Amino acid sequence: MEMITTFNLTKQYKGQGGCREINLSVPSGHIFGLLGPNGAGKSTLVKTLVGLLQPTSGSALILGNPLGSYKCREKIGFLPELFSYQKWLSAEELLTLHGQLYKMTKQAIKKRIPEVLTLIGLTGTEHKKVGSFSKGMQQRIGLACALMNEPKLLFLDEPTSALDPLGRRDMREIMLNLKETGTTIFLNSHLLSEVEAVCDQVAIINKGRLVAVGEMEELLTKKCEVEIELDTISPEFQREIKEWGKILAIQNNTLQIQVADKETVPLLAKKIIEAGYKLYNLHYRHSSLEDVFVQLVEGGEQQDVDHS
Amino acid sequence: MWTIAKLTYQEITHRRVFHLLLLLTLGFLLLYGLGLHYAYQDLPKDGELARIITTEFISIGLYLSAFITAFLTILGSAGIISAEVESGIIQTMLVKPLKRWEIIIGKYLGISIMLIIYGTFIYSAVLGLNYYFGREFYFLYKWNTLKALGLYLSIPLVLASVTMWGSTFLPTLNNSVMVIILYGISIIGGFIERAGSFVDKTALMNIGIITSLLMPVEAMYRKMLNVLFRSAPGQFTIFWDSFFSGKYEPSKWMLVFTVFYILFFLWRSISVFSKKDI
Repeated sequence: MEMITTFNLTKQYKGQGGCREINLSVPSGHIFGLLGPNGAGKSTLVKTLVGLLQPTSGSALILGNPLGSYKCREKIGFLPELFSYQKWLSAEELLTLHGQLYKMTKQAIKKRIPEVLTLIGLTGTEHKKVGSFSKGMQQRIGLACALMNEPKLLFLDEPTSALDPLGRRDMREIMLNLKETGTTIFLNSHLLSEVEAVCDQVAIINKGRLVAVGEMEELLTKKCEVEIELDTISPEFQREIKEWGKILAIQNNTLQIQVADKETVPLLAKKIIEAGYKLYNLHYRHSSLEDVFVQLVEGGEQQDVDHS
Repeated sequence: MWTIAKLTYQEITHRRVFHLLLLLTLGFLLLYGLGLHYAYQDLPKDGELARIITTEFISIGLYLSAFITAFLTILGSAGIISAEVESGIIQTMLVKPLKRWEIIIGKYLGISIMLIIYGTFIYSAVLGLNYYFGREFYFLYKWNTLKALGLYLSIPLVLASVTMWGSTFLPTLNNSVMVIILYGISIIGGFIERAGSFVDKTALMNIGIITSLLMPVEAMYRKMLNVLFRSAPGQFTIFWDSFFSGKYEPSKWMLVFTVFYILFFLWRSISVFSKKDI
């Protein structure tokens, strides 16, 4: 089942900024990462999906229900990027409040509070005032509030922005644990390493438009680089190898080539050996998410410069 | 909706400005009580004149207490939506299975409950102090006292509805300024209308009526005094044309207008907030 499906979803502010014609599909049980440079429209898209912003045009289905509908909000959780909570409430009172807002019964709230506190690692802080929490603890309690209703779909908007490296690692573990329990996570983050570590699927947005979307594996192996060391690199070999990909660099007897995908690599090795060259070294490297991101975002900007 | 109402009530009563106002209220009641203590000692024993002076004492007390209540209302509710939008608190609420009108009505109920408790306390304290120090001159009819309380409480409820509306689209500070200016216009309009009624100048009275339509708090204050000082059925009326109450009592249509005024601003608050991008 698709947890999120958008159809040309657009949200603009007085005809500018925001996000435009977004077509996404997020399957159940996945961690879906949304990436983009600052001001690309990521937060606008997240806020539109959770119903905080009214779309300018297009539509979307969240858990099979129309965007912003009462029914879909029963089963979603949301941790905003910039948020604060009632500082005068204790952690337990805050979680009770959010349970009540989710219209949970008293018994269900009582049962759920220790569960979420254990999950986010704040056991023992039930009676502490939220105002006395550190930034990292506030981020965690925010996540606990979003998890009170055992959401099927969890939106996290920059969830590790206030966390130290250990906190980030814990947050990654929490996300992976939630995925294990069947929760779908829509993660908006500018931390590429974080997205690369936990996400199954990723979408990259630039200047309000989707520039790439797909399985993480597929995106990373879209363009692979192969380094080949031979006994000699003749002009004839260079001509032949151009059929397999784009030559990036040649230095002495080492050649770097960009091939279409991972499956091309063994075929290329076979071809070299069959042609009678001596193959001393073949090193295959797929792109990092950062490579893909930089290429797509800078590529888009270059295109804009060329058009202008 | 009741969860929001309870939260709003708790939120306001946790604010420093509320605690400060409570302290100031106690200071005001202490000074007022001290004044009444000495004033009633020297009051002439002539029943008619003493009653007239008593109405003035009560009017002054209620006027100042209504002023404090109005400021509590404005300062307590100016950021009721806007401050939560600015801090991000509202984001976590709006994604819950709640209708936006439930948030507006819940918040209005929360602040209204606090204002009703506070207003009833300060109104009762003013009348109670007058009863304590001037028992022999006391003449108020209990049912009128209750009816007048209802009118007295309508003042903060009107202000809260306008402040709520402003808070849906204005930043907290701008909203406070807007409502204080409207409240000021209403008070000045009330003065002009009273002055007009004493010198029988229709133009002045019309200015007062127009400002009452802009914000009917001053009209409700005058109606409250007229009802409060009305005698019990079968007794002769001791009411006189006080500076505070004016010569003419606002009609029952002004009361109906006030009810619709509150409903209109609540409806506008819901309407603006429902379409608002957060």
